[in-house]
Amino acid sequence: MNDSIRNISELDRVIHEPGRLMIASLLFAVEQADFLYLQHETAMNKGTLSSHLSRLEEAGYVEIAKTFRGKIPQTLLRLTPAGRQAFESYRRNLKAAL
Amino acid sequence: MTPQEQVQSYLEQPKRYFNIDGLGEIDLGVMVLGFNLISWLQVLTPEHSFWHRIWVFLLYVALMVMVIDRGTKFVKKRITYPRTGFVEYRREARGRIVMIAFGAVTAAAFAVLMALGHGNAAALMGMVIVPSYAYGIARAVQWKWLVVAVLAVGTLALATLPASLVVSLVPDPTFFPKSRFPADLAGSCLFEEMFIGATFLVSGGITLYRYLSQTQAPEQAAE
Repeated sequence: MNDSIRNISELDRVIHEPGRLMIASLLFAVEQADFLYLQHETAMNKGTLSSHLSRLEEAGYVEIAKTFRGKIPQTLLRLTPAGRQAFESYRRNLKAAL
Repeated sequence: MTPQEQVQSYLEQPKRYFNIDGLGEIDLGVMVLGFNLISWLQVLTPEHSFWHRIWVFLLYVALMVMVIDRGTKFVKKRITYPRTGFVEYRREARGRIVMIAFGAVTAAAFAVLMALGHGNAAALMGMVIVPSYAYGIARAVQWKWLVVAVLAVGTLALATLPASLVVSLVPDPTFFPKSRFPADLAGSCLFEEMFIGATFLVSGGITLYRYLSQTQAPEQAAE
């Protein structure tokens, strides 16, 4: 197996999915953001976004915190250290593969 | 677009989001006009007046920065976050180093031009501001290229005004001989500063108006 193919096969499947890649990239660039921001920037509907976030949370890449902004519920999201590491290694592998 | 470029574009999205409501430009405009105002006050008042004291200048700058910071937070909290979402940015040392280096290079270039007796170092303001604005803001929003054109033409026109005309426009040109700046250079800088600040403010104001008319707070539902 040549290096390029090996690098492709090493890409993290959880992050590689286009929707989750967008979410992970957006969260990687910030400290934390809320659900509404991700919905606005990704143009996904609530159901799709929630499902991707659950998948990322299951993988231990995203931390989800339910809080309140005044009396309004707010869902805050941030990449965990494992999520940051996984995203960085995904970028490295992607670069090496292409 | 390659996958890597796509990822890079996603990574840059949060930076662009800061000016989605025009507040980034409004902040810059208020800051530039704020500095312009105190410069004019120093020109228009006698040499030993209140406005020439260093502590007044420092207090003025501190108050201006505080008002801009609090004002931005207030507007973001009341308008932006409920409409298009909340973001907390990472505090990166690299960003601060780049800003400090940018300021130092600009100051050094200005000093070199002054030392060489360049008649219109004011043009440097335009040469620094226009590309920075184009890279930082206009890249992401197409109509902002119009602002780039206005800034480029305006700053160039002001920098090439005849020295006699610039000095005649300053209410008290006798101030400048007392200072270390040649009158035409100091006058050009003041007018350039005023023009750049006003352009930022107008451009940011238009962005804020468009943002308010195109967005509304979504109905709260289970997330």
